[in-house]
Amino acid sequence: MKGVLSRIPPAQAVVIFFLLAMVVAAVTLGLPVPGLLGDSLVRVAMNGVLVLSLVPMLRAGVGMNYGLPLCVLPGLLGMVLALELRMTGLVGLAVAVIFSVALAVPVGLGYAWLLRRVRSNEEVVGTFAGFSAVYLAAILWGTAPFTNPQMLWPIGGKGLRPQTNLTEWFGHVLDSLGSFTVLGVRVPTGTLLVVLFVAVCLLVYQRTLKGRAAVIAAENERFARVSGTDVERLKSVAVVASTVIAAVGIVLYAHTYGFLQLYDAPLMMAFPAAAAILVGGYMRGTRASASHALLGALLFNAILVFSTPIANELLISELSDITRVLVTNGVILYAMVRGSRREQPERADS
Amino acid sequence: MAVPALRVEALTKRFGATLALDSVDITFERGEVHALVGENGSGKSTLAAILAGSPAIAETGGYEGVIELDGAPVQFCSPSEALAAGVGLVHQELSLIEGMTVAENVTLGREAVRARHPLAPLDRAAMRAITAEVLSRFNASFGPDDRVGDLPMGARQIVEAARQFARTELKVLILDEPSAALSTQEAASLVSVARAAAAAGAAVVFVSHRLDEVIEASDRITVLREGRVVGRLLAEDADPRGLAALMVGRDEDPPIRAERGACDQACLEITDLHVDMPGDPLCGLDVMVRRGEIVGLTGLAGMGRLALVAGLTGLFPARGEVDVDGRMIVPGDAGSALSAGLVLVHEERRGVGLALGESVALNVCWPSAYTAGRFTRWPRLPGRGVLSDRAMIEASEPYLERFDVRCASARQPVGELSGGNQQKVAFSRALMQGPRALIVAEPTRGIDISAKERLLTSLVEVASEGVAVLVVSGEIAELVRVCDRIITLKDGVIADEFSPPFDIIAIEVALASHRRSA
Repeated sequence: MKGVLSRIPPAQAVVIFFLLAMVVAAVTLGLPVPGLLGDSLVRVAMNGVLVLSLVPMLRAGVGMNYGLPLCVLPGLLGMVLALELRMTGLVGLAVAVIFSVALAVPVGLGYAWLLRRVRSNEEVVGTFAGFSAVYLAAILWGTAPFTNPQMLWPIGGKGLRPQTNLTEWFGHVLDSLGSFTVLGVRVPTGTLLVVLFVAVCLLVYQRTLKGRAAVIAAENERFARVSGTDVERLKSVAVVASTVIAAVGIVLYAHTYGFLQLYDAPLMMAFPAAAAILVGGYMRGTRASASHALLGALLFNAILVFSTPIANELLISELSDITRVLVTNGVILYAMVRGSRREQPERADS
Repeated sequence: MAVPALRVEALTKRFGATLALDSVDITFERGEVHALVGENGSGKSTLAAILAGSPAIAETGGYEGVIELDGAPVQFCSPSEALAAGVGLVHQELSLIEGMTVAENVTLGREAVRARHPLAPLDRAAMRAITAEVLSRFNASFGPDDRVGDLPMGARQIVEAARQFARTELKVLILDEPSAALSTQEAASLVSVARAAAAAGAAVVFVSHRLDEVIEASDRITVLREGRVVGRLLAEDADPRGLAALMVGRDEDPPIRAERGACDQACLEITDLHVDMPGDPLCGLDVMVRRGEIVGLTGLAGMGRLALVAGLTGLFPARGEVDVDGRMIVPGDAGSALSAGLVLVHEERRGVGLALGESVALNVCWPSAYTAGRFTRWPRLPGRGVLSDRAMIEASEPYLERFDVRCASARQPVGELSGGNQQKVAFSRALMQGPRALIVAEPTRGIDISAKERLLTSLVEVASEGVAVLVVSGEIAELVRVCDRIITLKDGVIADEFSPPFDIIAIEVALASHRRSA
């Protein structure tokens, strides 16, 4: 036990301690802890795949995917197409995922092409590519000739609404698959299993020849090149993989949330996901892993779920959103500062 | 008796287990050009780095001994401290900002301003005038307003030197191989400017390989060998052959060349190879190495020695014909070289030769794993199968034993090993690929004597197995021990070829006479 504790990095130890303190505070304040734990699991299920989608690009040295809003657009379009075909239940969800993946591959290839041209500025360019793409897609949402009236504006009947209720289509179908309650905590089994499945796939890929090659190329590109590795191709594959996983991730997110949100809703999607993987222990200059993403998704979302009612109870109400933004961006800032300190130049060789 | 400008006493510097300087005493007088000569690794650049306050010295444990500037003891921890005290260094590696003009580079950090307050505008006319004055001393063909990025390499080296020569307040000016990339005329200008600086009262320390230039430029010469002073003489009493003999020493290590039968079958053929490496280009190299033969390729800095491996591995643009046993290789395509059986060991092992964060086993096995799909399980999985750490460890262990690599286990990150052990890992990696031809660059750089012997012996063993070996190195004393032929480079092409028994002093003298054409 002592060995396990000593292996927890200080930053994660602080976060875990903070989370435990909030659980104690919630109990003391008489808040419904099982409900909060259940909500935490739901948020992990919602966000897990989106956080995991950051891993391939990070491992290949392309950087944090702040262009996540661009990568989720194929997923949103996939869901819109599934709704347009009036697909419901698990089949509806599967059709949405299939459309999303099919659309994400060409989008990912285009995104990879863009990032290849801006070597070492991928994060900044990704951020703006994401922002631009969200508004470009807004034109599509407003003008494309979709016909499902439940997605369309009620007046005029043209253009998609900003928010469509998925409950009667495929909302929560995976959450309720095999769902059970233990000690008052409701577990969204199906969605959590999908998150775990994606994580296992990533963990296996990390151990393959190409997976290792991507890490080596990220750590020492010149070594990789002289060893015969096609570095550009590896990075492109990573960008496509991140895009595909993000597209699937947004389908799961919307399905668990229960609403399909369009227009500027995905605009800030990248920041909570980035904060989560940083809370999970990833740091610039180290190797990201699916385990960072899973641990981060759990810690980050649990903190958000617990902090909101506690802040409302102890401080002023309506503080919850401020707390959420503060925690999200504060964590990114902290991890980047610490990561940059790790990247200090090595000592000159004799 | 006048106090000397700079005096070092009992100066000792270690890099880990390597003794770079061993109790060195030298006095540099005002008004003199004092040359430091020695082979690679003799300690002259280390001495220059200590005198100029290079941060790398403090980061590697500092030094022992005393340095006195104008009779007062000093210890510089940074180049800015040294400069403030009046000691400037012209380094052979350029530190120019290519997007700026010559005037902006020459006056960088001490720009002329029109008033004495922090927001004062730059006085560009004064900056141009300062630069034009110093450039006129060099008879430079370019002006203060030219962009440094547009200048050829020799001119950039002049700009680098002009930066320090523009500082009239300097008491000691150290020139560390400043003429390596210069043509004859440019080097002659540099020498005359250095002499003028000395005549104006500075002590000029001139570090160089070029013995004829040293004799012409300096008043006094100190010869270093293996970190010790082995000779002090006046330039007027020196001749290149005598200096080379002092640099090399009398005790040559015995050859470890194996007695091999005649091998006439060509294995590695390089024809008309051009590599556009800035400052060190190859301009049409033709080399043939037979099966089982070891050929040494050497040359001074700037003559193209470093470009061969850099070009073949794609780090710089290359064109020409390279074939191994009749299989053509695309220069710059590392994959085609590996599949033809040409394996390269890069000189820059930390930057290019090894993945420092990865295990010893992975470093040994990686190219074989990636290009040939070895050490994997379930190869039909996406990603060409799962890499087996156990298989890599088992495969690498015989090599680690053969080269006596000192590591906790094959799982240890290679970045934690010493330089010598890292080089052995890089060499193990090369052999793991079963090469037909092997090109090794600077195989013994920065490693201790026992590791050096092990590696040199291994080169001979590898050649005995029928591999064509091309060793690219500046260490003549090592080349003569292992090579069947030694080729020297000048201007990126072959200048001379030597055969056993080698006359090491003749090779040094031949190298020292090489000078880039204008």
